[in-house]
Amino acid sequence: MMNLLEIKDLHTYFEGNGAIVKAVDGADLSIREREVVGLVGESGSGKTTIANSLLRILPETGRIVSGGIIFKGINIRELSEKEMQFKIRGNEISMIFQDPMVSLNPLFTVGEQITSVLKLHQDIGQKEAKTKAIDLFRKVRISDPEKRFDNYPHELSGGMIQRVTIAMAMSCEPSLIIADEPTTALDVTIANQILNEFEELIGEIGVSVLWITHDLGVIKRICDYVNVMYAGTLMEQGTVKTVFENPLHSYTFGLLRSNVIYYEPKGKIPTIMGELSEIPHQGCKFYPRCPIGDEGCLQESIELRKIDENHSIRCIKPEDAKRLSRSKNHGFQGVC
Amino acid sequence: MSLERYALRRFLEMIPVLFIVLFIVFLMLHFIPGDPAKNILGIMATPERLEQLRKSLGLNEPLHKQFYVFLTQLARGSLGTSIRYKAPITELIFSRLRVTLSLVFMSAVFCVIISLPLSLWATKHRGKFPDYVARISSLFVFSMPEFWTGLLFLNIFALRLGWFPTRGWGSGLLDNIYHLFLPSFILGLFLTALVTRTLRSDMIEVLQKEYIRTARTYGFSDRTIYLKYVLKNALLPTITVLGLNLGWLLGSSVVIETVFSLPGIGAMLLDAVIVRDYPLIQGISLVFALAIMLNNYIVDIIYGLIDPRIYRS
Ligand SMILES: Nc1ncnc2c1ncn2[C@@H]1O[C@H](COP(=O)(O)OP(=O)(O)OP(=O)(O)O)[C@@H](O)[C@H]1O
Ligand code: SF4
Ligand SMILES: [Mg+2]
Repeated sequence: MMNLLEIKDLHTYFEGNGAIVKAVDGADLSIREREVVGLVGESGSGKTTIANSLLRILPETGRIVSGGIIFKGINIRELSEKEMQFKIRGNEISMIFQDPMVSLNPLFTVGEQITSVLKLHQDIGQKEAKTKAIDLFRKVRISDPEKRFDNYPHELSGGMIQRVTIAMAMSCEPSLIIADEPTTALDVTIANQILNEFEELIGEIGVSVLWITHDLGVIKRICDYVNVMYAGTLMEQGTVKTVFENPLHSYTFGLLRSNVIYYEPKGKIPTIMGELSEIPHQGCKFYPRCPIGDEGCLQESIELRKIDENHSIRCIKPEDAKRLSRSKNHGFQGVC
Repeated sequence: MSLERYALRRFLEMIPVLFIVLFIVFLMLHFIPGDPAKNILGIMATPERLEQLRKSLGLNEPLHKQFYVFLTQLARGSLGTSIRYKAPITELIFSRLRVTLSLVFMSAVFCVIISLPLSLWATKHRGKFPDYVARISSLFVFSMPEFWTGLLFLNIFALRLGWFPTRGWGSGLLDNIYHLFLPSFILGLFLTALVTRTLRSDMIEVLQKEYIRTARTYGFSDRTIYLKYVLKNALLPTITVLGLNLGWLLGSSVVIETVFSLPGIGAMLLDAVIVRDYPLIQGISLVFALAIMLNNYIVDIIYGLIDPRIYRS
């Protein structure tokens, strides 16, 4: 089966004040049709930058330096800005954002906002767009959709607005929806409810999803495939089942173990603390925080390699990682 | 609440303010130290003439009665008689109001057609050449008092180059516009600089907002994003600034009308002050005060039109 999206060795940098931030530094990621793919990694690892590169909506200081983004066989990097606007953004690929309260324009009704997207990408008039929007609202379980249509964002709850943005994301029947931590800003009950509904919806309409999150629990719940990102690059990827049951990268192991992003200092088992900060120029980017790394890890650049059909890692010592995960009987089950 | 109800409520809220304004304007004559009649006629006036004036202005009556008379006269559309022009003040004001309103209107037009594109251009190329042009020219304008700019432009474009008339208001619509071109341009300059600066910084702020990113994500073009979203979201602070500066505009119209010898209400006010035509000063002050009240009302309504959060909560 052909991949819907294939990102190959993507490098996206930010430049400013003479410094270069390599936000995405050699990322590979692919998504197949109708697949729900998780992208997990701590804050600042470059998840949002991947999404922004994909839609080419980077802030002015950001730039895709190299790599390929192949969507339905087309290299996104070669499309003109006009083609991006009319064919890709909102039409083929749409997005749901982290903070629903600020992601819609406060000066327009939610109805106006969704119909303007519909009218932009489809050859329909206001009346038809409104009918469609109200249908979509009904689909995402917005109660009393006709009435909500004329509400301004400030008149709706966070959960309700997130439903509106989900409706908007689905409005033009995209092939891919990027969800950038869409439930983080909501309270747990609402988040759960929306997650359930979203899961049902994507099954119904058969869309691929790139789900960006910190939350491994969510990944386990809704994703088929997971990508673990660290410092702008992918450390481990595979089906949720393989990666969760048999993590072969010490970073993944750390994530699973704690489900919190920070760990104890180096030396003290099982993993390391520190922040995403000092990245070695050569060799493994995770080295400063890796409990099992040694000089060998800094010698050469480490490639993402396939362990088996559904599992790849960027580490030269998977056996040690495996031992690490077994040595302490932490069990990941309790976490997720 | 609907917009209509909001508009009505704001209107009703103005009524007490209106009475306060009327009372203050009425009191103006009495605030001036000394005998109002003497102030008006000067120290050389004969006792007979003073008495006559006191009588015609009703100065001998108790204050509340005078206010009552003032109000009833006003209700009949009368503001008394000008001492200098010996004519009804309402008539004088109406004949001159047209000039001032045209002047203010034209300067607003200048302000909009210059500041909108300029601030959009500066925002789009912030930190680059267009932005510097906008910022430095604003700064330049801020540092020049309008009487000075007025005289400078008058000297260059009217006297030396002869492109524009030096004085007066002309006759006929086109001629009026031609005569008002230079003065309204100068009157509009300060506002233009102010609006350009405010809009620019507010638009830059709005551009960072998540909802603008949403619009971009959904495929809206830069054109739509700037003209439909960024501009609208950045407009409120600008309207506030404009609203607050109407008083300044009226004050400046006095200067500009004088520099360009325009027969407007501002120039008439200056005249009235010089010859101590107190009833006329009173009348013009009332018009200015009403203009500012009306302006604030309109600003409130525009607020509501732009941002429904203001009345829908
Ligand atoms: N506009 C920008 N200018 C400069 N650097 C930026 C900019 N945006 C992001 N970065 C940097 O790029 C890196 C990746 O940021 P990104 O937002 O992609 O991370 P993320 O994984 O989405 O994090 P989070 O989980 O907090 O959303 C960070 O180091 C960040 O500081
Ligand atoms: S390559 Fe070395 S430093 Fe990097 S994760 Fe593997 S063991 Fe740790
Ligand atoms: Mg992010």
